Amino acid sequence: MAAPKVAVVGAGVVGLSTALSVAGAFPACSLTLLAEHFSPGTTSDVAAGMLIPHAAPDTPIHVQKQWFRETFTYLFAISNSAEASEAGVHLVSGWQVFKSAPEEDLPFWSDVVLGFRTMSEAELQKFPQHRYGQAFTTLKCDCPPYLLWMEKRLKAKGVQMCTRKVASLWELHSEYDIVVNCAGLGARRLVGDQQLLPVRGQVLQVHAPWVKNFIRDGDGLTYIYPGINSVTLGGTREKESWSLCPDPGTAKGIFGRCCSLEPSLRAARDVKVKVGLRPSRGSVRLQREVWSQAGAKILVVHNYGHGSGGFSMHWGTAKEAARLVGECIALLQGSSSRAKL
Amino acid sequence: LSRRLWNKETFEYLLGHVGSPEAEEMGLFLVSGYNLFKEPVPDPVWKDIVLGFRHLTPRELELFPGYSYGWFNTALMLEGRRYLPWLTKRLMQRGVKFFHQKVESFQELFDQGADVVINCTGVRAGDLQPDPALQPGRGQVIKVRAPWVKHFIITHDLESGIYNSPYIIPGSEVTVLGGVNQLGNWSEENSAQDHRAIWESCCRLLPALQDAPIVEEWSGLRPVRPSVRLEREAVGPGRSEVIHNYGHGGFGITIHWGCAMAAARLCGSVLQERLPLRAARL
Repeated sequence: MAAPKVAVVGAGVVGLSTALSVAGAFPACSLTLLAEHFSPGTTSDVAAGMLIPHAAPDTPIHVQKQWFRETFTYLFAISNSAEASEAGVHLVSGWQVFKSAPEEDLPFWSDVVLGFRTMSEAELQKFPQHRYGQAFTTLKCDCPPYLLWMEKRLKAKGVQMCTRKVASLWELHSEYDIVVNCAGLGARRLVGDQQLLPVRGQVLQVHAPWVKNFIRDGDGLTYIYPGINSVTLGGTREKESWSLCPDPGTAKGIFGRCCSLEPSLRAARDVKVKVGLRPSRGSVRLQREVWSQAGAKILVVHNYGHGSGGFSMHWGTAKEAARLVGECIALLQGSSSRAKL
Repeated sequence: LSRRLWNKETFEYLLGHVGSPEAEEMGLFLVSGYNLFKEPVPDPVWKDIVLGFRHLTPRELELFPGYSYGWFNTALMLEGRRYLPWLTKRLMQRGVKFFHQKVESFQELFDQGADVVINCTGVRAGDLQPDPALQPGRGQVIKVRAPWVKHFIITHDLESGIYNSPYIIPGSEVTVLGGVNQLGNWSEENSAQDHRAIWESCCRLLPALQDAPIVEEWSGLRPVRPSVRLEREAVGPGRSEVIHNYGHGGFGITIHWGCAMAAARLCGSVLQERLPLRAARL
């Protein structure tokens, strides 16, 4: 049979990494990536890209851990290579501090990151309002560089990338055999998934190049993540807020909270305010379906709903999505051989 | 050991300032990183002075092929390019006068009426008073734009000696690559051979550095001495007091504040002793 025609919808961290994973596993496929927005206009571009998982409620912990470990291992190798600066992937060390003792001593990811340990009394003195802390080293994927690097690798593999607003997956049935849905929050409209809701995050990106360590409050709301060309200050978690408009009051609040954690930020310059809507769901939707209607058929693989965990889990879910694409290809080959009989 | 005390005093003094509004202007910030060795070594005397000292895990060592042992800790950066102007500003605010002039002898200063001279002349202290124990430890550094590097990486080669092994130190604007320490070499010219050695060894440590644009290259002379000379000395026919504070090698920033306070205490003693003499002159 002719090479399967696969379309990946979505060009955020999940869409691009899924396309890379599929291209790597099935080089014979003809692969196209379709998206309404490319970097720097995606939700991923707003995120700091820190590999610190935020446990999703409905996915078994061992699965989240496996996806995180696969992602960490993959990025660790990139960070250690000559491509690290172009890919925007780098190691960063720092502290997660708590005002009151956290529920669990050891988060599920503590043995995946590097050098995880409890903070010493001397280290905690830097955070007078916090009584407990964890120190570790993890990875950060700076965007746009990471997304642009993936786009470059896709082009090198012959993957076509097109700006296109897909109104319904059905419209693709005549051009493609398999559609991989990595549309993030867009999947709500695209496939009518009411479980998918935005969790609004506002951040500040500032020039403060002397900040070399990350600091995160264990409540997940206040964080300082040093990137290559700016430091990301966050944040908010506003459930079901759809507004992409930066809020000045929120910006002041974020700045104030971060300066409490790191007073030297008062000297930060070039403050930019950004907003992203986390595509949140009880669990990532990773499954395949057969859509048929009046004789037409497309095989659909879903890979969306990563919420706060897009960067932390992306490579693990990309590999799983590629595996599901493999099952689709086998189905196609099975039905085409049946058709020949 | 005085050196450990001065190190501790300096670290604690600076740590107290790292959360202050002045920190950025001072060029002061926290940075974490790696010390790498090719074999196990005893823990350093400063392990309880820095923050979060621990040994490296096997996965961390995978980052550094060729190194089998190491330490991780959080330390302080104090960038001279910002610290010196900040200190100068503070001194001027206190009415301290600055003169850009070459001092030919201690005596000329006493002749001008100085009650005490504090000698912080570093590597050229021998010009004012011969000191065979003092010699230059020539260093060369390449400064690059590599803002993705967030950790210091300092390698150690027990055979070639301190500062004579590649290191990578991320500053607020540039990342500094270095690793030579040539005792007795007075040349302040950049050496092409040292450039190649530093560049190649640092790129082996961090392959992505190959793409980092070079911004500056510089050579300087560490004021190396078996121990810091921090003492008072009566010189000349008038038995005038000089307080020596030089010979800090490659760790001047690390211990400067402790030494400064010790020198200040000596200065205080000298002035105390001389009070009756001055009163007698009036």
